[in-house]
Amino acid sequence: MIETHNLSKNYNAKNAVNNVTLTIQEGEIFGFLGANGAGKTTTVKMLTGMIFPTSGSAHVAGFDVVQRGIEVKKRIGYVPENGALFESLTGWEYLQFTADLHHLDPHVSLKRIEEFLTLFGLWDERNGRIQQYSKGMKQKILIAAALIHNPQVLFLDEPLNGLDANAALVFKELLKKLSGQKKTVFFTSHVLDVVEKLCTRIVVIHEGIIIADGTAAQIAQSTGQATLEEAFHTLTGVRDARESAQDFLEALGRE
Amino acid sequence: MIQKIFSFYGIDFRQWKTLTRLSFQLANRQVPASSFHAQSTRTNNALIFSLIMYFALGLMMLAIVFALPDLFWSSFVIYSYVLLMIGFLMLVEFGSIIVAPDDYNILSYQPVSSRTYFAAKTTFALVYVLLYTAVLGLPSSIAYGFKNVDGHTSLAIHCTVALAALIGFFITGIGIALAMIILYTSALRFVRYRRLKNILSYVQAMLSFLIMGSYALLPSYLEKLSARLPAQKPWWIFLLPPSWTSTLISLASGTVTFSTLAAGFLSLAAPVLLIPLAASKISLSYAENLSAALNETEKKEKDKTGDAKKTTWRLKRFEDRAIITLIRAQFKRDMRFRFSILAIIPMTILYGWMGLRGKGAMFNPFHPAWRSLASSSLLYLAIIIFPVSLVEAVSRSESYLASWIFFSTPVDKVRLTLSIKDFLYKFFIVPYIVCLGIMFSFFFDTMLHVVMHTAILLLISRLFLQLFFILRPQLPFSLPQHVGDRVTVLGSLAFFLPLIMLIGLMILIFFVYTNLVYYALSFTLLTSLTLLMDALLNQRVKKKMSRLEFAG
Repeated sequence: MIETHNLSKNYNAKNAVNNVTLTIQEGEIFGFLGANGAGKTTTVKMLTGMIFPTSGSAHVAGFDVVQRGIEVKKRIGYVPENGALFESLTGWEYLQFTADLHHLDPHVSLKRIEEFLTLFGLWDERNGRIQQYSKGMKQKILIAAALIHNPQVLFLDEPLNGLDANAALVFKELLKKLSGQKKTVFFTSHVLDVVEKLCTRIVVIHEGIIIADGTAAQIAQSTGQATLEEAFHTLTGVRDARESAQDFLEALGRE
Repeated sequence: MIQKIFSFYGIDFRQWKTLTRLSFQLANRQVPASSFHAQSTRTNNALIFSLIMYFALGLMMLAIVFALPDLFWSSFVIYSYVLLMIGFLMLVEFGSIIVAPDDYNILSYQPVSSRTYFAAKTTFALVYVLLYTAVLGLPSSIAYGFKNVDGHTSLAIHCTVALAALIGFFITGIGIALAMIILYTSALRFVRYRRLKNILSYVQAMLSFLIMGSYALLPSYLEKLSARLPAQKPWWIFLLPPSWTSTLISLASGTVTFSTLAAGFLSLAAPVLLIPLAASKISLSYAENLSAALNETEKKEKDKTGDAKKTTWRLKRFEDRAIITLIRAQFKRDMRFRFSILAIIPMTILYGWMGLRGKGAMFNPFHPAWRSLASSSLLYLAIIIFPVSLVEAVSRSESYLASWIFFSTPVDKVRLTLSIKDFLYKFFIVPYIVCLGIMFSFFFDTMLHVVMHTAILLLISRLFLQLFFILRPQLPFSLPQHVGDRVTVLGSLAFFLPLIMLIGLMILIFFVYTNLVYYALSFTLLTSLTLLMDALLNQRVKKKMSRLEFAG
C-alpha cells in the first residue's frame, strides 16, 4: 500500500531524510518513531504529496506521489502535526468544505458529518467557530476531516495531541477496526506506550536514516532492552536521561 | 456546460466552487477574539466600512471629472488615482486576497490541483478588485455620462462614454491587480518574506501619505492644472498605462486617431498579457515556497534573537519592564504595530504643511487668523487621533493568544494595563507633542506662547489617552488583528472628534489664552482633571481586570 525506494529530502546541505526504503502492507498499523528533527514529518509530507523528494521514489495506494499526486491525495486522509485549520469556519463548515474537496455525495457528506460530530461529542458546538474550540476539539475536527471520505490510507502525525482519555481510547479502537477493514495506518507519535500497544510494525528513524524495523518486541530484543521506550532511548538518545535530569536540577538550584 | 468548460481547462468545478466560497467566507468573517468577544459567525463590518470609504473617495473624484474639461486629461488623472488606490489595496491585502502561507498547510494534502486553486483564487481576487473598483469608479462613470462631450447631445454618445469610463475603471483595476501579483511574487525571489512585509509597511505609509495628500491638495490645484494641461498630448504620456484606458473614453466620444486606437488596444491587451504571468505565480506550490520562506525566516530570526544580548531595563516594577520588552519587540517585528505608530509622521507632515500653505502661516491660537484655522485644524485633529490610534495598536496583535501568560502568572494586571498608558504617554505622546512645539516655535511670536500651548496640548492629549483607556481598558496585545479595525474605530469617532477639537480650540482662543490668570486657572484645572482621571482609570481598570477571564 505504501512503498518508498531510496526516498531522500535535502534542505540546503542537510539531509532531512536519507535513502529511506519501506514497504507497508495493506491493513498494517505502522508506527514511525524518531526524536525531534529525525525526519518523521518530512517523510510524511513527502508521502502525502505536500513536498517533493529530492531523490528516490514513493508510491501510495499504487500511485506515484510525484507523478500522480492528486490520485494519491484522493485516497489518503491526513492528520497533520501542526493542526492548521481555517479557524474562522465553524466545525460543520470545515467538514463540509473537506467533503466537497473530496467530491463526496452531498447526502452522504451530510449524514457523515452529523454522525462524526455526534460521535466526537461536537454536535452542540457545530456552529461555533473553530477559533473558539479547545485543542482537543480542534484535533477531533482534524481527525473527522481525515476520515470523512473513507480513505484507504491514513497518515496520522501525533493524532492523540489534545484528545481526552475517552476520545483517545475510542480513536485507538477505531484504528484497529480500520486496520481490520484492510486500511493502512501510518502512525507517528512520541507516545511510545501507545505505539507499542497499537502498531503491528515499528520503524525508528534517526537523523534521516532508518535504524530499526520490526515489532516492538523485536526492536527491544535487538537492543537488549526490556521495553520499546528503553530501546528507543538506546537507539536515539544522545545523553543519559538521568544525567540530563540531574543537570536540570542543578540549574534550578543555581541563583 | 460550465462544468465542461472548467473540465476542458483542467479545473475541478466543485472544488473551484468550494474554494471560492471559502475565500469569501474567510474574507467576510472576523476571527473572534479570545475570551473577550466570544461569538459565532458574523460579517466583517470593516469590509463594508472600507467599501463606503472607497465610495466616498469615488465621490471626491467627481471634482476632477468636472474641473478638467478635457475628457482625456480628466480620465487620465482619475485612472491614475484608481491605479494607486487598487495597487495600495493589493499591497495591504495580498496575504488574504491572493496567496496566504496557511493555504499550503491546510490544502496541500487535499486533492486540489494548482490549476483549480489558481482559478478559485483568481475568481475571488477579481471579484474583490472589481467590487472596490466599482464603488470607486461608479460616481465618475455616471458623471462622464452627463459631461459635455465636444458639444454632442446624443444620449447614445453620453451612455457610450459612461460605459467606456466604467470599462476603463475595471480594466485599470484588473490590470494593476495582476501587475501587483507579479511584482509581489517576483520580489519574494530576491527579498525574504518578512523583510518584504517590512519594506511594504513603509511603502504603504508612503502611498497613504501620497494618496491622502493628493486628495487634500488636488481641489485647490485643479483650476491651475486645468490651465496648464496641453491640448496636444505629449508622446511620453502614452507610455503611462492610465493614458491607455483614458483613450477608451476618447474613442467612445468619437475621437478616433491612430494613437487613440493603438492606446485603446494596449489597454485591453495589457491585462490579457499579464494573466499567464500572474497564473504562474498563484499556485499551491507557490504557497509552499511562501510557507517555507516564512518558516526559514522565523528560524533565522529566532537564532539571531538567541545570540543577542538582552537589554537590562532598570525599572523597579516587573510590569513596567514587561511592557517595555513587549512593545519594543512588537515594534521591531510586528509590521502592523509599527505602521500604526509611524503613520502619525506623514499625517503630521501633511497636516502641518496644509496648515502652512495659503498665507504661509500656521494657526496661532494666541493671535487667531481665522483663514488658517480650517487647514490647521487637521493638525489638532491628529493630536486627538494619535492616542486613540496608539491604544488600538497596543491592544491588538497577531499573537494575541499569547496573552494567556497574563492569566497564568502572578502579574498585576491592573498595573500592567496602567503601565501601557504610562509608556505610551512618556515614549510616544510626549516626544510627539514636543516635536510639534518645536514646529510652533517657528510660527508663534514668543517662546512663552510655544511653551504655554505645548503644555496645554500635553495635558489635553493625556486626558484623551486616559479617556480611551477608561472606555476600553485592555491587556496588551490581547485582541486579534482584523483588516480595517483601526479605520473602523477612527471612522466611528470621525463625527465626534472634529467637534470636540473645534470646541476645545474655541475654549483655548476665547478663554484660556486671553490672559495669564485664565491660563493658570485652566492649567490647574486640566492638571487636576488628569489626576482625577488617573484615579477613575485606576478604579475602572481594577473593576474590569477582576472580571476578565482568558478563554482563548
